[in-house]
Amino acid sequence: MNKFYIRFILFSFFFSQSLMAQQEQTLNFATDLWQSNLTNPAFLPSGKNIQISLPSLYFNANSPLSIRDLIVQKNGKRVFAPFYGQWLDKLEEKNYYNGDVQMLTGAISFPISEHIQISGHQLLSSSQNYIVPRDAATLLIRGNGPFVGTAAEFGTHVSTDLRSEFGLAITYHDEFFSIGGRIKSQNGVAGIFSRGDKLRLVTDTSFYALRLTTDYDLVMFQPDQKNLVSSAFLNNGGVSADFGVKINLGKLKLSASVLDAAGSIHWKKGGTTYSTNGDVNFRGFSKIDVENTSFQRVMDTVKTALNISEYQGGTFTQNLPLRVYIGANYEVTENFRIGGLFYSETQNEETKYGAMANVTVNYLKWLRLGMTIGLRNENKANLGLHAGLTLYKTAQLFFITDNILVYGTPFATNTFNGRIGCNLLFGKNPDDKLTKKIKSSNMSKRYGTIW
Amino acid sequence: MSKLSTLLFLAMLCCLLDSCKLPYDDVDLNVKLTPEYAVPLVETTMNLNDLFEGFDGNAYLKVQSDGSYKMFYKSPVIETQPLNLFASMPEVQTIPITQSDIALPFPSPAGMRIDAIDFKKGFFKWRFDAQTTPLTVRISLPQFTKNGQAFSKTFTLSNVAIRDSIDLNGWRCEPTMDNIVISYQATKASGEFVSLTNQGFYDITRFESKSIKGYFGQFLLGLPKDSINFDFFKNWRPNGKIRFSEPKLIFDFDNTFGFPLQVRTSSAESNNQSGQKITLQSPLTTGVDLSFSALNEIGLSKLTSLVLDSKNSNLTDIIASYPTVFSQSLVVVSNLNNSAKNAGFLNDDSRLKASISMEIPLIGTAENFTTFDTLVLDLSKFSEVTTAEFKITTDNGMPIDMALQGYFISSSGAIIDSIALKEPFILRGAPTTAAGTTIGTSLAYNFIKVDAAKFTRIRSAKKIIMKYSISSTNNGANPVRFNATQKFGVKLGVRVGVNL
Repeated sequence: MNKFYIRFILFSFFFSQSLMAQQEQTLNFATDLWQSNLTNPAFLPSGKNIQISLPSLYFNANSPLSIRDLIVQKNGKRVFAPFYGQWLDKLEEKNYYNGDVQMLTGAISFPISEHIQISGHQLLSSSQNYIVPRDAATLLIRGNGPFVGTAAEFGTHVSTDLRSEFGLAITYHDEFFSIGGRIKSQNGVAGIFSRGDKLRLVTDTSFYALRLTTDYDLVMFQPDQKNLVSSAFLNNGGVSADFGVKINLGKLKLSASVLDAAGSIHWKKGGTTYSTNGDVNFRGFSKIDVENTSFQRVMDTVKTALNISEYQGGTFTQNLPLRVYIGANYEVTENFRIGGLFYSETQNEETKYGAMANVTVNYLKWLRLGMTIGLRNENKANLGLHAGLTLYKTAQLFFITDNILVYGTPFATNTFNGRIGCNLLFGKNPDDKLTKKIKSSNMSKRYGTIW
Repeated sequence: MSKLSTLLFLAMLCCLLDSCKLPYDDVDLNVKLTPEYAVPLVETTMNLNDLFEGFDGNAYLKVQSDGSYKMFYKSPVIETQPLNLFASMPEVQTIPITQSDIALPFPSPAGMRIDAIDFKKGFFKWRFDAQTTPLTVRISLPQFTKNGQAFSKTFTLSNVAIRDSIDLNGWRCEPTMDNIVISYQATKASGEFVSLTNQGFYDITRFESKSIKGYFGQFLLGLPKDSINFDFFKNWRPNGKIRFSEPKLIFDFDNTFGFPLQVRTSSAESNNQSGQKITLQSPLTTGVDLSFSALNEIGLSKLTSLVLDSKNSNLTDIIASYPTVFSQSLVVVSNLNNSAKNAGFLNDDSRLKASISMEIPLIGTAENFTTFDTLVLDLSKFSEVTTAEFKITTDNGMPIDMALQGYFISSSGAIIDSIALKEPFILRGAPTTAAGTTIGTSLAYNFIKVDAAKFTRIRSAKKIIMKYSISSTNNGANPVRFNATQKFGVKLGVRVGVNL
């Protein structure tokens, strides 16, 4: 393989660490933000009943490697040298890289009646999911030398996309519960997806004869440069839906939501498919030809044996991950709230789970601070933070992260997460009316207390 | 509360600022990837025929009916120049008519006797002056016959001169006492003979014969000088031994002359790398009679094959001297012992062709027989490679041990390095019976390591000189036999460290 491509792949690999993401959980507790409506369409932002979200950024990273893993000691110095490959030993047999970068270009939420609120949003997002076998990284960095006498399984799952999303949500709410739904129109702009995962190289011990067994497709979709508008919004369509419910039991609030139910994007335009399928043995040349043998000739012959076919076209159905949030919040005092959350994410028949506990303090009238502690699959516990700062009762600045500690040790972490942005608030405060109704309804008498 | 908040904020800020400090002192993104690739280079099975493909064109290997091999070196066919006895004849010979019967002298070349000539080309022409009185003229050549009929032509000569001719192609002439008789007879209508002396002439153009019968005497025929080049010994160095059990030098003569010929060598000798010359001693030194066709076999060729071997020549000594070339000049003498001067024939296409070949059955012994081969090398094509470890797996079914060594040569001809640092690596030969027949194969693994320092040294090499040291199994103790079933399997793989 051309050394440029090797470096490109590796660099993408490392660079993606700082961009890859997992769906945020802390946002579910920041219920004063319209953005929490993205995790449950039944959530209505507290404060004023008209909210306009200015462009905001969400980013997250989840990788088995940290920047520190890419540093070596050389001549008494600490050198950032990702191509040394010293990090290979830290990899598991299968290594998961996944996440999103999301630019919420705008959102608006307003009431159309006393009980009904609607909201709309538009965002651009990039999701990247790789499942990289350790063998694949080893092949790239160390060649097939370490695999003499064994098999290298290097079929890498690739799913990376750039897509645009329009969403329209409607929420019904009263003093006891709220229920909401959102329909989202998706459009794939660009993407790379793998199909099949069989890439197997066996190097024998007698004279390093190679046997390559493949059943692997890579489908690449590129935007039409001549018609960018169509590429951005129309070419590769898909639909998904969110549903949510929130039950108000006085100080206790229960919520549940399902996101991207039956969501998928059908990629059909701008595709190029690279396909390899076969069982090829390469046993060298049949003649000794010292004068006409070069390393490049040998590598070219091996590459030819891969028999990669390329054709314009190809379709791909990208299933969006199905996410489920189930949460509970309890107002200990007017300015102190605790909560818990269960989270699951299912994609390609694989489900990941997470759980989180939250403490929120309305520190001042204009400052809300929350801390979370979360668990996610086999990862260590992460300490999260969500903060909202309201200026002049109209501008709402916020910052949310699932892992605040990363900001103290950014080079040692393998998860990286944050959402930052600004909302504008207008109109009345529905909470005032709601609070009065709840207090007057004397719910504790009707339902009893939880504890 | 506000002081505490401020302190907390400052502490967090310090923490963040400290966290932004880069955890490394330097960045090295240009470090080259140094993967190691293990790839197969060659998998092949060869027999002796495959190995001989690289030899020059005059050598080839032939499988015998019993499966054994014979190596042949064959020289190009040489042949005598065509013999033309009438080359010195004038283009046109004019004979004035001086009398009615002319006996034209037709002498045979010195020492020869021409009994008959079959013409292929030539004309007999005549001219007679015009006459006032019409005459009937008859010309006759009694010795010129065609289908048993002698030549004669009758025509009328009047007031116009007559010029006519006859194409001799297909006519036979049988001179009598080295003379050809030409006659004319001219008569008037009354039957009166008339003399046409000095009133005309005959022309005989230079003719060519298809065949001549007679006795051709003793003369020498030269054959071009010929030689056989032996590539096998071209790169031999005098530090080992090889001995073939039954070499043969074969002379094949193809004779279409119709009279006795004897061939002998005027010179025949071998020459080897060190300049040593050995003269061939054989029956050819004194002369060998060749078969020839009798008069009733005109047009046929007769073959004579002369095989020189250890019994009738010193050929074994010549081969044992590792000749690079064997050259010889042959001469042919006619009618050397034909005192009876018996008649023979000479055709226009009579030739003597000779082909000389060396036949070496691959049975023999070798003891550290060393030869060299030079290959052009361009390691710039391996610019990415820093180290290499070749793994050579050989499955040798041939009864020879081979020790390999290679020397890397710079553009100035100096030895930069060698493949094997100490001992050359050995390919063991197949085990044999006492009679030299192979039983089984010999499997061996060898590694050749070229580390980074060595690769740096040899990168400027322009040539590699391969040195092959060959010994028959058991270090040349017994003769061994090669046959078509013996294979030499090679599997060559390499683990290369590269910089990308």
